[in-house]
Amino acid sequence: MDKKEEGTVEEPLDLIRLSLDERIFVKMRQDRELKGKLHAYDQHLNMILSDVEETMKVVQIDSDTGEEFIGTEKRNIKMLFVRGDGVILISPPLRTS
Amino acid sequence: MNDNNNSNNSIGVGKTFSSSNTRQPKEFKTLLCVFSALKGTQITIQLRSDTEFYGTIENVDKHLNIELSDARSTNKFNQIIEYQLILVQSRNIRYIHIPDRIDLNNLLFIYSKTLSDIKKKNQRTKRKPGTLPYKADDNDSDNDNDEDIQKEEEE
Repeated sequence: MDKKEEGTVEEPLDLIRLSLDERIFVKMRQDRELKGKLHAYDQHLNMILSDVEETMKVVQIDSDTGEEFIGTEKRNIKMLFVRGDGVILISPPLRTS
Repeated sequence: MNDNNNSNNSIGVGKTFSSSNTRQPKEFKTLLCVFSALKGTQITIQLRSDTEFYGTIENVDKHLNIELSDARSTNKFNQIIEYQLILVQSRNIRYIHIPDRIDLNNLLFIYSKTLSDIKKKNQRTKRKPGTLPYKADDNDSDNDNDEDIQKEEEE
């Protein structure tokens, strides 16, 4: 990347470019959320993330009362390719500057 | 691509991919370059339907359709089906798990370099304010001269 352009945001995807090599939050379709370090992305928002923590919401049934409630399920993945069409939003890490 | 007319070729996907291999930059425009490098390695693909496929990548085309060999699918009810060869349509893919022994650094470096090269290529050359894109004065003077000569001839 050019040095003079490094800190500027000209188009929306530049915001993601500034988040390269940082931990980002990705909201996916079907109530899934990802947190991981962004290694690469392209114009489709395909992404390669590492050290990913995936959180998904699942309907569980309480064994005592038989009531349905919404719980979360988590899992960790070392290296993950995310297909762009499932992405709803990307949130860069908070910067204090 | 060019092999659509070729009816003898039964494996169109493979042909298309190898032909696009000859011009690397285009392939490196998207993250698909990663999967061309992952050919022959074992990956897990999670589909939108929560089915997971574990198998060896045989081929990837430009749409990210993936051909897996010796694949084993596990659906959300933990039923297992095995396939010798299967084509996973790209639209159904949610995630692809990449084995961590694979070093993507070099690949992603080439990818980002290609992107910035393309960006540089497409950048407009900035014009100094006040100058015209073509040398209008020269052309005008040429025409004037021609006209003068014509007038002289007429006289």
